Amino acid sequence: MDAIAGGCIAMIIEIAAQGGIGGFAAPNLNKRIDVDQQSTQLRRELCKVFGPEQLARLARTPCNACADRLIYRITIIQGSAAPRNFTLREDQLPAQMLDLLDQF
Amino acid sequence: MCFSLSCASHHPITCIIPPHMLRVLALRGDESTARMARSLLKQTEKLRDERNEHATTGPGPHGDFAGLEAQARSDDGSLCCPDRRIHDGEFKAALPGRLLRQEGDPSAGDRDVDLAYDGAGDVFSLFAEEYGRNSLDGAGMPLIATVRHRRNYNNAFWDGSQMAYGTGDGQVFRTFLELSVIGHEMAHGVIQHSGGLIYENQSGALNESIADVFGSLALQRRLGQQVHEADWLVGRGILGPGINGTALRSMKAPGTAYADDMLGQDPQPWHMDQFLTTSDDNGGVHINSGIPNHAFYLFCNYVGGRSWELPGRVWYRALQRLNNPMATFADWADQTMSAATDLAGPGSFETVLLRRAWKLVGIGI
Ligand SMILES: [Zn+2]
Repeated sequence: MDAIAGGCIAMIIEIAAQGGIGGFAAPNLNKRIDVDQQSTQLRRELCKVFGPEQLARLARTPCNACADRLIYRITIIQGSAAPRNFTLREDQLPAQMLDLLDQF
Repeated sequence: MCFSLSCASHHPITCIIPPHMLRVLALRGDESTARMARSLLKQTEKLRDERNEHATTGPGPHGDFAGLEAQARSDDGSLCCPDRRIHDGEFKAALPGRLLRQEGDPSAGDRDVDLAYDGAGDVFSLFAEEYGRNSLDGAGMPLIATVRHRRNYNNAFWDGSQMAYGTGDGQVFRTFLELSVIGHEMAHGVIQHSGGLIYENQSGALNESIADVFGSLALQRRLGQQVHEADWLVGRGILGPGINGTALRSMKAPGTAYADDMLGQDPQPWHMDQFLTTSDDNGGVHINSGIPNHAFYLFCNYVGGRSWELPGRVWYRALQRLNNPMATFADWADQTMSAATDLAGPGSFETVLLRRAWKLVGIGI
């Protein structure tokens, strides 16, 4: 049983960014990722790092130097369940997760 | 060794917040205040250890500003050197990336790397030669920067120990390697090592404003501009070719830097009557910074001449003396008045002009 079958079916990830040195919403950083439409490997990676529990844990990471950081508002839509919203600064996301985001 | 050991005995943090106050803040402050207090306590303890280690070699105490100036001088009295290390992020998020050029290396033949290297040198030189500060921490820390951070990344930042610059996506932004931006990010490092300003609401907007002030001064000094020759823009030319705007912010005319279908209208106010209360952008830190930015511009305009001289010294001295990570605009205005009084004399023309500048943006002192 892989990670996809483990609770990541029909997941949509919506990401909006704002902040940064300009302080404004950066419209080109609005992304919508339909996990089901991705390759098997990408699906596995997305399911692994964008799980709601993982995001909730990251959101609790304290900020040591927050100046000019982008702020991501991430919405996870999964099946018929109510969407879950998370607000994370980019410094709260591990580098591998940011690299994954940058693929879209 | 470039620097005398006197650096350690005059680190600004040791003069900013007394440890007992930090301990109270760590215990009773809200989450972000407590975090900052814990971080400063750690640094204070480290500095105390360093000072004890060098107690037998350091010189005696200096007068305030003379002491600060002494920090950036080597034993033979000459101004000393930055320690720049420019890395290639290779479009990935991990920092710092691959080292491409370090201090003394010739041009890398890589435009981004060379801009980051030269810009870091200009900003180091502003703080060292004009304000007597030895690097961002006042103790000669290396200037580490990463260019080509992430892919199509529309941002630049200071992460607490280094600078990072994206390339921009070519649409909203075309680059971040512009001197006022480099100076802005490095100034965040100076602010952090000068006691810090909590990055939300008014103290956060002050953090942003002070970063804009020294970013702009680094550029004006590089260009040898008098106040009336400067454009007072932060990030001129970094917006993408399709964006209707000239810069990120205007200190001379806040609210006029851009007006674009995608970005909207530059939201910066220049007067307290237009102060924006919002939960976005950490409480509008990049928005309300327009108010203290404009006060600084007005002060420079009244004084005339080179803005990195007396006005820059006043702002730098106020930052070193602020002693309040949660300062409001009014607290900051008071601090700049004290600094101007120290540097230009009580009742001087300059203090009258400074009071007038603050009054014009709606802050009475
Ligand atoms: Zn900033």
